[in-house]
Amino acid sequence: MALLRISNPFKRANVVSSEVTEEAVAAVDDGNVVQINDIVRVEPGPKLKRDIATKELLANAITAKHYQFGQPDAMGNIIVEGEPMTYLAWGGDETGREVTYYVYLLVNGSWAQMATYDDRAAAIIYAQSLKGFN
Amino acid sequence: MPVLGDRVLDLGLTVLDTEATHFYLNSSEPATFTAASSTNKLGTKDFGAGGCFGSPAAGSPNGRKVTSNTFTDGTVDSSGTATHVSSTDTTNSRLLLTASLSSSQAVTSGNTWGISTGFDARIPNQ
Repeated sequence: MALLRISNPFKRANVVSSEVTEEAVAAVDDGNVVQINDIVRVEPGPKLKRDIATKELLANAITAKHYQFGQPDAMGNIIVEGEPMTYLAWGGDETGREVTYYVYLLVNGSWAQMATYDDRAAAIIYAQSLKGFN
Repeated sequence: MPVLGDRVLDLGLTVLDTEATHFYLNSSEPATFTAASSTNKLGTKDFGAGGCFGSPAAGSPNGRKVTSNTFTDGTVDSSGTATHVSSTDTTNSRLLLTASLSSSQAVTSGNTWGISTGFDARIPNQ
């Protein structure tokens, strides 16, 4: 049984402190995965977005070229014009990558996504609050 | 717009050739190394560094490419519906590549999975 049940893994969690702790600063930061401790980590990645599939959205200016009508979206569902689709904001010909910070907790040997934050410091603060779940 | 020389492109593709260690079968498109290798993982193939892709070669219509190696003995770790495959440098906790499957595929824990035809990862030269 999982330690925590996550009803909405993409729901933004509350920030529990306004300051980054010394521990967070001291956490291993290799420029990609920030390993807070053995069971908590933060990792940057493209933001997961949901929108209506239109010719404009899929014209490669906003979304990556692999998102096209008839092809899978980020969840593996076939993209249909006028229907909702999910995509990762890798960037397009005219837009850059929209980075967000994913917070993970190790639960029964698997990393569960707990929250996402657009602000790295806020993500680390939240990650610090999860350290007691071991 | 400048045209990039082969060496510039090859230095990027060489990361796939020499640093990629794993292929993962995923239940959705992974945004991070953690998602690819754990959160969204359904299956695993551990080649070790240097085993996932071949050396850089001429791409079509331009640029350079590497081609994935094939295998049939990947392990399905969890049952679910596979939609994407990814490749990582697990030594350095880096997500290197994601790709969608041509069609979703239900998989069952304990079975095997593989890539029967190598796919190209290309960087255009302009």
